[in-house]
Amino acid sequence: MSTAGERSARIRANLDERSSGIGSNLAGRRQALAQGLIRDLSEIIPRQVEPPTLRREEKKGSIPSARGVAHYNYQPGSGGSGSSIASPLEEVNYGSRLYHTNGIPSTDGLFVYPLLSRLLLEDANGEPVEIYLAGTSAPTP
Amino acid sequence: MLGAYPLNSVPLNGLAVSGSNVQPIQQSGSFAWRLQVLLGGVDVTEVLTGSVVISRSEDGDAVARFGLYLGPGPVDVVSYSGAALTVDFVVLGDPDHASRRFTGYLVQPSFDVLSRVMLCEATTRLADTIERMELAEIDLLTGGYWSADVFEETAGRSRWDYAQERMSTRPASLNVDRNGQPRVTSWEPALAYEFGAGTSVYESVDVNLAPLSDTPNVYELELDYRFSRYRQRNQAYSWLHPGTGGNTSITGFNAWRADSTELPDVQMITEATESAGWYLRSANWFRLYGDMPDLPQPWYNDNTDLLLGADWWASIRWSQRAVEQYRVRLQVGASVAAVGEVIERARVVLDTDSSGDQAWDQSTGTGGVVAGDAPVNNGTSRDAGRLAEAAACALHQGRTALLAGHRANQVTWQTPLAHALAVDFGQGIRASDGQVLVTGVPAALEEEMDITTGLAMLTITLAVSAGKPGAVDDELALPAPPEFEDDAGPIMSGALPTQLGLKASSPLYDDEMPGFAGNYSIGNGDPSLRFPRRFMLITPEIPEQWRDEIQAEQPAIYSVAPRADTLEL
Repeated sequence: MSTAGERSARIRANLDERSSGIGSNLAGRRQALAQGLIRDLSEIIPRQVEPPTLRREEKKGSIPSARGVAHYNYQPGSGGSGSSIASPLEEVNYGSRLYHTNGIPSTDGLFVYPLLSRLLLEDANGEPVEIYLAGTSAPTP
Repeated sequence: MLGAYPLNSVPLNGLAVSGSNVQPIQQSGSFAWRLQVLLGGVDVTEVLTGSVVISRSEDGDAVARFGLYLGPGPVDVVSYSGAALTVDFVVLGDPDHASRRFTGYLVQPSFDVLSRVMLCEATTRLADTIERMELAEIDLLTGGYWSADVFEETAGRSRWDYAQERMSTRPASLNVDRNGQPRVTSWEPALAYEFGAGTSVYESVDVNLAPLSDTPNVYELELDYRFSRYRQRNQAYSWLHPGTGGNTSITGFNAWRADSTELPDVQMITEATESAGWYLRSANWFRLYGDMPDLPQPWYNDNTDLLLGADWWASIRWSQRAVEQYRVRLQVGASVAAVGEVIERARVVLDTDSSGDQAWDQSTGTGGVVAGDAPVNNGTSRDAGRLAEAAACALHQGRTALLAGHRANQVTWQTPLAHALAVDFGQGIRASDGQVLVTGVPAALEEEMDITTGLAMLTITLAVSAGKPGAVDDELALPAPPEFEDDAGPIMSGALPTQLGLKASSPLYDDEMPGFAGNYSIGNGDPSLRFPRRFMLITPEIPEQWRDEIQAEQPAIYSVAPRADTLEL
C-alpha cells in the first residue's frame, strides 16, 4: 500500500503530464499554422535570383614574334664539311665500274687503254661512296 | 433553396455567349436561385450554412469557401480532405438553368467542435495538375517561349515553375476554368460583354490605381553571348639562292652550278618554321635537279630535297573568346514621356564550352583563306539557333513585364450574379453605367452566394491597361550581331636573304640575319671563318588583342504598346 503522499504525488505527475500534453498539442497547431503561413508567403514573394555573369576568361596574351632555326652542318650528298665517310673504302663489285668511251690510246695507236669514269666504293659503315673521274666524253656502262 | 425575389420574373441575360458578338448586360429584375453542391459525390446542399464564396483569380487557382453543418452525430473530418467538390448555381425558372461555378477539391477542412460546423476550403489544385503533366503537354497548354539559357535546365525541376516561366513570356494568364480544367486566357481579348446603365450595385464601384514604382515602363535587357572564334594567321615566305640570278629554271641551276654552294633543304625549312611554333601550310619548292648525265658536264644528284629556292606559307592557329553584347531597351514611349523612366533590369548570359578550342589550336591543315597579314576566321562555336531562342525568350519576357505593369490599374464593381453568369477571364468587358466608363479584362471574379439572405453577387475586378491608342508595337527580333574589330597587326616581308662564307670576299657570319647561311663549295677564304649551314626565319607577332577575349556591343530599342483601355470616372 502506498502512502497518501505517494498517491497525491502520482496524481500530480499525471496532471502535469496531461496539461503539458494539451500545451504541446496547441503549440503544434500554432506551429502548423505558422509553417503554412511561411509557405504561402514564400510562394507569393518572387524569388530573388543573382544576375548571371560570364565567368572571367583568363587573358591569353600575345604570341611573341619568334625565331625558327634549323642547323644542319652536313649537307647530305655533299661529302663536304663534316664528312661522314669512314675509312677504309672498299670496292665491293668490280663490275660496277664505269669507263669513258674514249680511252687513252697508246703512243703507237694500236691500243686504247680503258679510262675509268666512276668508281663505286663502300666505306667502313657500309655507306656507298661514288667517285667520278673527269674525261673527255660521257661515261658508258 | 429560394432567393429573395419572385420566381420566374426575370429574363436571364448573359447565361450563354454566342460567337464573338458583344453581349449587352442590362439592368434586369430579380431572380430566384438555389445551389447544388456535391462533395465527394454526395449532395451536401441541405447542410450548407452561411454563404458560399468562390474567389477566382486570373492567375492561378480558384478557391471556394463554405460551411457545412454536420449535426450532432459522430463525424470523420479527416475523410473529407481531398474530396471532389462541384458547385452549381441554379437559376429557377421554366426550365431551371444550372450553371457550373466551381470544380475542385477540398484541401483544408476545419471543424468547430462546439457549433458542429465544418468550414471547408476547396481549391482547383492547379499546381498539382501542372506538376503531373509532361513537358510537351505544358508547352501545348501554355505556349510562350522558353530557353535553358534564360531559365534553368528542366531536369529535376518543378513543372509548375516551368509553366510559370513559359507564362512569363506571353501576355496571358494561366488559370482554371469552372470545370476544373487548366487553361490560358489572353490579356488582349476582343470585347465580349458590355455592362449597361444600372447594372452595378449602388456605390459598389471602386478604383484602385497602381503605385508608380509597380509600373515599369522601361525594360533594360543585357544579353551576352560568348563563344570561340577559330582564327589563323598566315605568313608568306620566299627564298631564292642569289647564285641563280633570279632564275627558277635550268638557267638558274646552271648559274648556281658555275659557283656552287651549300644549299638548304625541305627538312630545314619545315623545321625552322615549326621550331618557331608555326606550321608549314603549303609550299612551292625549287628543287636541286636530280641526275642529268646527258649534260656536257654530267650532273649526278640523289638529294633532290635540296633547294635552290622556295615559296611557302607558314600558318599559326589559335582560338579567341568573343562576347556579343546586346544592350536591349524595351520601352513604353507614352508612359516614359508622362512619368519619366521606371526601369526594370534583366540580364541573360550564354556561355559556350571552350574545351574544343584546344583541338583547333593544335590542328594544322591547308584550310582557311590565305589573305595578307590580317587574321582570318575559320568558323566559330557560335550557335545562332540557341541565341535566337534565348533572345526571343528574354525579349518576350521583357515585353510581358511591361504589359503586366501597365494593366495594374483596377476597377471593381458588383453586379447580381445571375445577370452575368458567363462573364469570365479572357473576355473584353466594357462598363458604362453613369458612374464610370471603363474597358478592361477581368483580373479577379468573386461570387458570393448567401443562403441565409438569398443574395447572389458577383464582384468583378477589371484590369485596365494604360496604353495609348495608335502606339507602335515593334516586332521583337534581335538585331544583326555586332562586328568584332581587329587591331592592325605587324606586317612582315617574307623575303629571306642569303649569306655565304668561305670565300675571301665573304663578309663575317651574321647570327641575326634570317634566311640561309652556308658556304661556297670551293672557297679561298679562311677555313676558320666557315659559316654554319642553317636556315632561319622570324615569325610575326600575334597581338594580344587578337587572342584575349573580345567584346562588341549592339544596342537595340523596341517600342512596346500596351492595350489601350478607357478609364473615365
